[in-house]
Amino acid sequence: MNNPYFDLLMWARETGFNIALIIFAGGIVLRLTEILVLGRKKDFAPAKANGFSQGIKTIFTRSVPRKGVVKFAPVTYLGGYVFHIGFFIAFFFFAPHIAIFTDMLGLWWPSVGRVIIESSTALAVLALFALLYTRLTDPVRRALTTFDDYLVLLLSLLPLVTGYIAVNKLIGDPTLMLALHILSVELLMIAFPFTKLMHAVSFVFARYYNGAIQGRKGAES
Amino acid sequence: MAKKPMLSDLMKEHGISRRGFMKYCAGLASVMALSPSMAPQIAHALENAPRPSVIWLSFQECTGCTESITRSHAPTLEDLIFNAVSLDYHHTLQAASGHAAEAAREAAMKANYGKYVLVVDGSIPLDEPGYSCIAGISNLEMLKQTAAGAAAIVSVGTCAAFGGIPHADPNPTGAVGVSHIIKDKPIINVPGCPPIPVVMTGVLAHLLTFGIPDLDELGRPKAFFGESIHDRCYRRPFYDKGLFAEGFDDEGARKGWCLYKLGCKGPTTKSVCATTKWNNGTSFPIEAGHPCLGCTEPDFWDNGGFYKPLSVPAGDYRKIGLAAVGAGVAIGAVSALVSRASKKKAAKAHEAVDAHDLEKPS
Repeated sequence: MNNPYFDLLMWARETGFNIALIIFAGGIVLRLTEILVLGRKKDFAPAKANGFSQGIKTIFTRSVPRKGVVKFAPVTYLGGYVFHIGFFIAFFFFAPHIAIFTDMLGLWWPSVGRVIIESSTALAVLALFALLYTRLTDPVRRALTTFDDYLVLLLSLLPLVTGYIAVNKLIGDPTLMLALHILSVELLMIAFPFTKLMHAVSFVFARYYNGAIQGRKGAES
Repeated sequence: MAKKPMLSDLMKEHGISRRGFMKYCAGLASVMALSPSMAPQIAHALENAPRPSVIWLSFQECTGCTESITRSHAPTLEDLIFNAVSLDYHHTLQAASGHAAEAAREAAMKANYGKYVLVVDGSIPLDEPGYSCIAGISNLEMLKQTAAGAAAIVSVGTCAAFGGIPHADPNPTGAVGVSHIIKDKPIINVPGCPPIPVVMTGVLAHLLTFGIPDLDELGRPKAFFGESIHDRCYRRPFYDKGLFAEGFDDEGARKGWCLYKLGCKGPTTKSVCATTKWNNGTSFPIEAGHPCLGCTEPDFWDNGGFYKPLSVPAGDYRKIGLAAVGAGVAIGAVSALVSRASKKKAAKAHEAVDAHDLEKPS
């Protein structure tokens, strides 16, 4: 007699993860190699300032909103911050997640308690719904939204919701919910390199290029 | 087996008072998730229930389950419950051997056909009958013969319930649990490696008093396998606070923090280990400092390694990951070079156009 939930969990932890890892790691490296090998056109004009330092600075300064924009689109900005910070805390500071990095890379850092993890998760989910609301109600944003955007939103939502349910045993069998949580993360991993989710890695390069180009010209970015 | 006295005689023999017996019945009611008001009914049923014949078959097993049940040592009341049945056949415990032992089994089957309780520990090999035989009879044949006249079957231990360790990959004997073979009898699975003595005696007590207990989808009594070990674990507050032992001898381990990161399977394992405990309620594996192995679940031996946390991938993913990174670099470089080449080609094929060309009729 088998426990089908355990079988699903084991598939998710073994075969499913291997498939997701191949697409995730291979896809990210593929896209980054493309970006780096393609490079940029050589700028023959004499440099007016140090492009490198401006590029590095821009990687960080672009995380701070410009004056006035928060007032202009408060839900987008605040929702964006809440979602990203919440997702970051839930992903990087929950002990079972840290255990993956320890096993994979030998890295270890302290975890935080469930109150912080669950509050972060709940806030991230609420923020996602708020962002979806503005996307659906604002006619301009709605017109600009593609299938890719809805897909990314759903794929970001599922791990948060299934993880919350699995830890709190809200519905269903805990083993099944853990399996569904891991599978939802694997879906996110598979979509990652080929959707807007890739910005989690490519933002560093994009910001650096922008900052470096402007910096070389002696302009602030 | 020698004929056993009735329960009331045994109580007197072991110096157990009526009050002690009632206390035990209340405890049993609690363990079986019944109302405390059921205790007198349990006492009445145990005192008056006819001693059913029990045939205990041991197949591919380590005798750990028998060791466990006999560790509910006299003069405990679990032992009395064990004596409340007429154990007519049990390899390890019976005095008879060889033909005499088999004759005892056949006699018990004949005398109590359709009424006896069959207890099985150990898995049954399906690949070759010769892998495990008793008195020249294959396990499969003996199970089919004996199950035919049984009122109910209790599969004791994970081997009998789900195949257990013999069933572990690559399962060289084709081992399976009882429910894989017998489909027409009520089967109660009491998994564990081994099961907790009071769980085994509790199930037998339930059978004696109220018949087949409520079972989950894996055939386990809900009273004993309804909740996860994690939910009832005394180390759970440390999990909630994010305090974990990182090794078996670190500060966290000494302080009794959560063993999740050392591979504890408590969150996905259903059993009463954390509440009923072992050795008369003394301790259980997690209390002794070792993570739960998940032994009451099917295929626990193959569920990703005992010392890997549940959240960690179970396969050999590092080589696969490195290969994917290598392939990504190669494909990315080729793709970028092809793009560069086509860009160069396009630049070469580019024709200069001036304003006059644009004004020409196409």
